[in-house]
Amino acid sequence: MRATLTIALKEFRGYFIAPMAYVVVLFFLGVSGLIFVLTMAMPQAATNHYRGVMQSMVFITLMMAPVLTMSLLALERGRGTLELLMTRPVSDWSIVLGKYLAAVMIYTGLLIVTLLYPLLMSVGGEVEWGTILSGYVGMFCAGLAFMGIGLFGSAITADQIAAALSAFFILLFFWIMGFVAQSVPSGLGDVLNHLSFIEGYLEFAKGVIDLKNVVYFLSLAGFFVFLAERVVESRRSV
Amino acid sequence: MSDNRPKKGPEREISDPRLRKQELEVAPLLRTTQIVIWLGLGLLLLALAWWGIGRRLTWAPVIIGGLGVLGVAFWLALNLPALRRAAGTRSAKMVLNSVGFIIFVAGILVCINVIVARHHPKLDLTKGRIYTLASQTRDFLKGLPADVELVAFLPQGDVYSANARELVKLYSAASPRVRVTWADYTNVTLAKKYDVKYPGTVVVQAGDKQEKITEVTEQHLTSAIMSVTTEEKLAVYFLTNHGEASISGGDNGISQIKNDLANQQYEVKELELAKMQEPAVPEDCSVLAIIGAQIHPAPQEMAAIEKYLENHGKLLIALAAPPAPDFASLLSSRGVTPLAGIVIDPQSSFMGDATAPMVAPEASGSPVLEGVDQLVLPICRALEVAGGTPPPTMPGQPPPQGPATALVSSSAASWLQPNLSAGTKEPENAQKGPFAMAASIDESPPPPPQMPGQPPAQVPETDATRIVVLGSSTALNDNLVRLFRFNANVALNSIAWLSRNTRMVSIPPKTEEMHQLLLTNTQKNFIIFVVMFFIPLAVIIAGTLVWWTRRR
Repeated sequence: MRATLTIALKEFRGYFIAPMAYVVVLFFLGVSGLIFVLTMAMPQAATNHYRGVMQSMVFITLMMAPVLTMSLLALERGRGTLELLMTRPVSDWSIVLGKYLAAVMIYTGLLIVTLLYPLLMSVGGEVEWGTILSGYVGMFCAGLAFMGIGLFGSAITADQIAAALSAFFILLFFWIMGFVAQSVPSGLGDVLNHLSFIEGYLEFAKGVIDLKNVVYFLSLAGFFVFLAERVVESRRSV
Repeated sequence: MSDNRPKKGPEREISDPRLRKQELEVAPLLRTTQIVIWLGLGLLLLALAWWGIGRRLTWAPVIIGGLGVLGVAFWLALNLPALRRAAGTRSAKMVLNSVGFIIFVAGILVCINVIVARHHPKLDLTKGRIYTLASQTRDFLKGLPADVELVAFLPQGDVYSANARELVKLYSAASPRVRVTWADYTNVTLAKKYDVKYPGTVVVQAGDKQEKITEVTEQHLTSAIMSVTTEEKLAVYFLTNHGEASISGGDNGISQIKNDLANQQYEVKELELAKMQEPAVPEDCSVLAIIGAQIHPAPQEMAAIEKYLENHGKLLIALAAPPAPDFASLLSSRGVTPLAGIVIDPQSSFMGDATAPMVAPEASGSPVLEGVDQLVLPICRALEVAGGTPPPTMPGQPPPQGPATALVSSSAASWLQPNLSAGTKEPENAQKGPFAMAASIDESPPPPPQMPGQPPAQVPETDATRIVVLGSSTALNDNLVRLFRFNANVALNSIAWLSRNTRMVSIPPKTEEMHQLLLTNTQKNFIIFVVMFFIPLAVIIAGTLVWWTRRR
């Protein structure tokens, strides 16, 4: 556990040394801020419309997650430092979880900053904090899954761009599942709907925390972190 | 430096000429098997795509898929020895081990997801709990007397069906006696079996009873379940032939309320007392409704109604504006006297029209007003309710209700306009409000007072005369009810209370409350500054500082 935290903190600090993290943070806050301001400026704007902003933020996270996570393992592999790290008395799980936690910490920090939006909005109208809380729980859960997929993308290749692209395609696959579900038979459609990020998040945005969706995002996160660990472990065996 | 290691695979040299000949003979066959595997996989994909696009498993994709499976099986059969050899190597074993482990973990996760998806608790954090079933529905489902099947013809892909599907799922989660079958509307056999003509229909069935609903709302779904699980239907008679609002619709019609009643499994009928040789209210009448009579019923008809009321009859009466009859002979002796004039309320009115008072019901706890937040009562007669103020009671006891109770009243700024043609100008000697605009009469004996320290006495429910009086019949007409659903709820609640059919109370639709965002220009500019400049600038400065420090 200590090793995991040490790696997580080292990675977290590493994020702020490289310029890429600033670019990603700026992209996330800039685009979500712009959507928030435009929503607020709409005629007949209502605080309920923040739901749309939260949905947009999930999509921005989908684009941001591969970039945020691409260097986690791919950079180590590219530099050849992963093998060096493996010679240390730390388990593969500690390495993988530590790196994953660092990405999650950055994402959580971003979410906390965006909480300023509904706070500012409450000046001009009643805000349904229950719905906001539900939306943020959903964004956090979805973020955990996105970062997990990003980490897996980073584990399978030594090239950062290839890592980001692989993660992005996996994320996109789960994203479009909801659209595919509409054109297939009912039973299969239900399964695809359950696998879709959109369907999973919409309930949260509505203000309903459904255990089914929480479990879905957490299992997806857990599964891809597990896959990343398997990839790292396979390199140790080679 | 030459490579002395033996070559593997196709590059391997075969020294034995017999074996070389044999390999030359089987080479085309091997190439064919390569084609077969790709062809097989292609056919399988084609079958899947066919099934997906056609949305139905017909013979064509089954045959194509079958050929695909045969192709793959043929390749496997020919390459089995090679596959066995490959599987025996150390690295292959490791890969298989790893793949097995991954499949095992994935299987566990799938199982967890399937279990949770079947019994998933939800936490509804919306303000009005708009994604949770109403307490009436939940209570009813808890004591559901029979197993119910909901056959849902709700296609994927549109918002209405998505919401309806969610609603249907809430019912199955609320009671183990409710089972849901998701039906494909394009399946003609199934659609014919249930006689479903439109997508978006839900068939509710229990035993041999069946109801179809095309407007999938909580109210309709609960009513339909009540219908198929309840044995008897209660009859509601609407008096006609005196210019009353028609249950068939048309100008000032009340077809919406008639439909709602039918949905709640009441038997709705018209009553033509004037055409009867010996006018009498039918024995099966659970509730008699007189909505907006324009001319006075004949004395024989009035006698029949009075006789019906004396025999513990139930009456819903909505009065039309003067000079229409006020039915004082029926009501005054029971504590409600219609006054000669209509209520003008400039303080609280619908869309600024003072002749259409908009009132919030008093917290009377009356079941007639359950789930009713506001009422619009256009061109409303004022009512005088005897004993409107409850008598003093024993300390700590609820006030005993008199037979007549005012349900809603106008504001203190209202006045009585004797003649509507005078407009909304207040006459000099106008009678000032507040006025009762709706009242209920219950001639049931009051329960005995509860003695301190004693449990409340159990009083058997006795049958007695009950009346609900609405000062405005316009309040129930189709145009207003479509705009203002609460008005219909009052009528439905009234009929439920009158007929003592407490399970059939109306369920008000749950809609999201919009919270308007009202910002001054300064506030707006401040928010834009913080969100678009301050936060991004802070990130840029931090990044630049780190870059600068590291550069040095």
